[in-house]
Amino acid sequence: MTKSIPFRVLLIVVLIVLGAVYLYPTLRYEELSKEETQKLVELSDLSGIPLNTLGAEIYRDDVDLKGQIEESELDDAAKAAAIEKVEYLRGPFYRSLKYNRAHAIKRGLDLQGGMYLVLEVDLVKLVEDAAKNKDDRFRRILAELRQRVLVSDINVLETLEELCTREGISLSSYWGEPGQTDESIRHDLREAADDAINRSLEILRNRVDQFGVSEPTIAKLGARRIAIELPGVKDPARARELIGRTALLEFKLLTDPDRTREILTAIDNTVKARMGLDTTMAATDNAAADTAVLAETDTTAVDTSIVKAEELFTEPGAEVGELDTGAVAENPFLSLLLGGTNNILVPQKNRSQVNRIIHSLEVRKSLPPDVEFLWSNAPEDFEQGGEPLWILYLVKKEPEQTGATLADARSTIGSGYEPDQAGKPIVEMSMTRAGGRTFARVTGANVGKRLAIVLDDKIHSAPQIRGKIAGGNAVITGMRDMNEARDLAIVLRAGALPAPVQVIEERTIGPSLGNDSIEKGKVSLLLAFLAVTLFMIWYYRLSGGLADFAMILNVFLLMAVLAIFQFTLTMPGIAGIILTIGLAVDANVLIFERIREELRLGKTVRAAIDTGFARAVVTIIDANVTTAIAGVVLLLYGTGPIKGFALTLTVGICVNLFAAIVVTRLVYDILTERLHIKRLSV
Amino acid sequence: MPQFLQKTNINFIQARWTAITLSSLIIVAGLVTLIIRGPNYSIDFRGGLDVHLRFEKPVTEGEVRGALSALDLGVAEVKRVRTLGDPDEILIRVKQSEVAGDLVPRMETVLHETIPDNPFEVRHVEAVGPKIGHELRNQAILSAVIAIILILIYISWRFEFKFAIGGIAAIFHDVLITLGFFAFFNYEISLQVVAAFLTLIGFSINDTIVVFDRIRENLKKLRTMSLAEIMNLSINETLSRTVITSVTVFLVVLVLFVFAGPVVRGFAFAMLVGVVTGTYSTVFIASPVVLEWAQRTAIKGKKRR
Repeated sequence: MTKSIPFRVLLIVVLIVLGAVYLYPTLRYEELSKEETQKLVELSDLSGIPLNTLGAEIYRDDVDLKGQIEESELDDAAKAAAIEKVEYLRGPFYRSLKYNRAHAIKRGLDLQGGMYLVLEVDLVKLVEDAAKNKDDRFRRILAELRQRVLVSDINVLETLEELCTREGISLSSYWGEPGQTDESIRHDLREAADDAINRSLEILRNRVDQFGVSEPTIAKLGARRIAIELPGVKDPARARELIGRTALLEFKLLTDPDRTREILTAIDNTVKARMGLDTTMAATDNAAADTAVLAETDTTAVDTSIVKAEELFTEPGAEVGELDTGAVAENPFLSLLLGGTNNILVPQKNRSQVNRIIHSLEVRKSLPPDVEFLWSNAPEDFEQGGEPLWILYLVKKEPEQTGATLADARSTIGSGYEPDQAGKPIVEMSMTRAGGRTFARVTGANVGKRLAIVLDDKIHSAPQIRGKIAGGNAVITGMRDMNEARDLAIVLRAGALPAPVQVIEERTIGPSLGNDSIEKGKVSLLLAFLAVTLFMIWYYRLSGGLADFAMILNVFLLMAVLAIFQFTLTMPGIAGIILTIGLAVDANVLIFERIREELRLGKTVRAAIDTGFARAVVTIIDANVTTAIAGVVLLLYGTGPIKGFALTLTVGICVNLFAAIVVTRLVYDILTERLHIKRLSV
Repeated sequence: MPQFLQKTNINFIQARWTAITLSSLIIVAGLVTLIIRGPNYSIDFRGGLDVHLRFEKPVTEGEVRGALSALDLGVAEVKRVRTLGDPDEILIRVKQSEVAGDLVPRMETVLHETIPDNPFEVRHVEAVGPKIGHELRNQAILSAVIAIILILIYISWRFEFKFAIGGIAAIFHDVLITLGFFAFFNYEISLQVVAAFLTLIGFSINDTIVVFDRIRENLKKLRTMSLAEIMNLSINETLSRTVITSVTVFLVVLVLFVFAGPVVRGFAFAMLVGVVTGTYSTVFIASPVVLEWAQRTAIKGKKRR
């Protein structure tokens, strides 16, 4: 307060200039010049691309506008004119626009549209995979662990230990080397878990970087979560697929056709036995004695079966309408399948039924331990009346080789004569030298057999090995379109995630909602500003104008702080700025009222201002601290857009104090000391 | 110059029992509504999937519901959301136990097929796993408790403890009344609304502190007056400021409520109610509670002697 007037004026001017410099890119980015807008409109007219799409895409590196125009159905003259415009817009203008964009206040996902995902790394699966000697007790412990993890965010390893202690066993029963202490196993598991999360983070970053979104962010969130932001993502479904998949590539041998047939027949018999049992039970429903006897024999087989008895035999009859009931009764399982020589084909409508049977507890128990059922990745139309068919494969559980030995993967359009490759999108893989040697050995030893290419437990193809394959090259087929092939190549290059991830939170904001929010935010800002300004001038006259000036400065400095520190502005953040407009005049009101009171007591203008200020400042600080407490708590505990609100509110309060205590005081000092005002309009 | 609030002399303290009775009635009515209807949690706390669609041509909820019946969605709710000055949106709300990634694309495909020639745009998708919902709720409660404790500590430090009691009474008053309004108008309680509650706590206590400040100052200056008289004087002296600040904040919040769109509407509604109750509680609740507290502890003190 004792500093001279010129010094304070200088300080404020410097701050304003600094703020203006930092805010310039934001304003410039917000409003294109007339010439640029003109060009954009012309380009839009020529190319038929909507103006707002153009406006959003003109600055994006990953959008090939020229390519789009080349591929479009315009005539050559129009193409040339359009390309000239694109070149202008992507020339010096583009560079300055990019610069402005980089230095403008960042817009949150809720303002620019985009996708926010929270993924959780499945540590339970990791722990499960690391274990050996898995028995029923182990499965029980794991099931409980999974249940607990599902409902709350707990430490997986600690809970696992707690469960083991409760069961009275040590970690070494299932984990670690023989003779390893629990302490050391715990350490290893924790390290494996940390490593899994860090690797997942790295792999996801690789995938997202290659996906082609401008400025994605990926960050660790807590102990085992990863948050991903994809601004302006165009195809959320594709992004979700690319990020969420494990991308575990395996090569597995199919079981011999003879053995497959044997196993299928065995399953058929199991199901038939079970159905017979159920029918008998239904028929003798009122004969209590019989049921009791049957139920006794039944207990071992049924116990905790996932498949309920009635589901097993009511639905096939209902779903498989065209099959005569005799066949269904004779072969309840086999009648759901088609073909059989080379592939087991399953019509789309039977798929869930078949799935339920092969995953039922009885079938799983009777299945040899070294084999498993896997589905094809997508149904196919075999020109067979249009009904899409799935292929069910029986493969050896243990993979011959995994994607860990992959060196590179590229998507391309297949050539040659192979019907499932020629002219279709494929992914070509090449292996590392060691991987190539393993592949040569595996293929050499299994000539004539079929080798399935399995990706995330779905079989893309299962070609017959015609001879030893040297050089370590393989091809994945069965993609719907080029995008899928491209995404697959990306995930294969980036590598498989060490453990599956689950999406536990997703928020996607469409571009139009983002634009609407910005427009509504601007309108609200303007209206709030007008309402407060007019009210203050009406009520306090000249001093009201002064409070308005302080408020404008307030909002200006608040925005400048956002720009200087590259903070992100969200819709609740805009609400925070608008609220600041309402709160900003408060400090000045307190000062006016005090000065008014002092004047009423008969003091001179000079004395009234001095005492009025001194008293008001105490109150202003006391009053603002409480709002700041609320703001800071929100800043610490809030998530996502709420943080944006807390930020503008807190910064707003700080700037507010500055504007009232320093700037308003300065204006009064100038009025009294330099202009010798004798009467105050308060 | 309008000076309608220049020098008032209203006996607020005398009206305290009328005010407390009125507030209690409103709070009880609000709480009863809240208990009967149950809190209307938004997806943030409830978990599940919300999909907002905007169709080019109007569609009925029935059409969308019919189209979606092809998918096995479990408990799904389809409703039309009307907002002032905007085209209607269709909200599809699915209760699901986990965030199923492929559900939204499947919905889109089915809707495109079943309702042809009426393109729609996916405006907003929110999927929150049950675990996250739980955590967000705990976090929100925790942050509110921390904020209240910190404010209590600050007031106790700057003033006397009995003032903190008055401030906290005002906070609970405002929050409970606003909650009642939420229940009554069936607004959803979301993360943003919790943020609004914390802000209105800050705002309401801000007003109250200005009055307390004046009481403290007058207590030193006017030693002959009774506490009740000083309170009345202080409230009257600060009345003009209290009203002006509330009016400006009310104006901007009203603008937010009407013009800023659905994203912040819940927030604006909470603030709208909060500003009014905050001002009211500053004048009619906070100081009288301090007065009652002071008088009762004084009587108890005398009895002990």
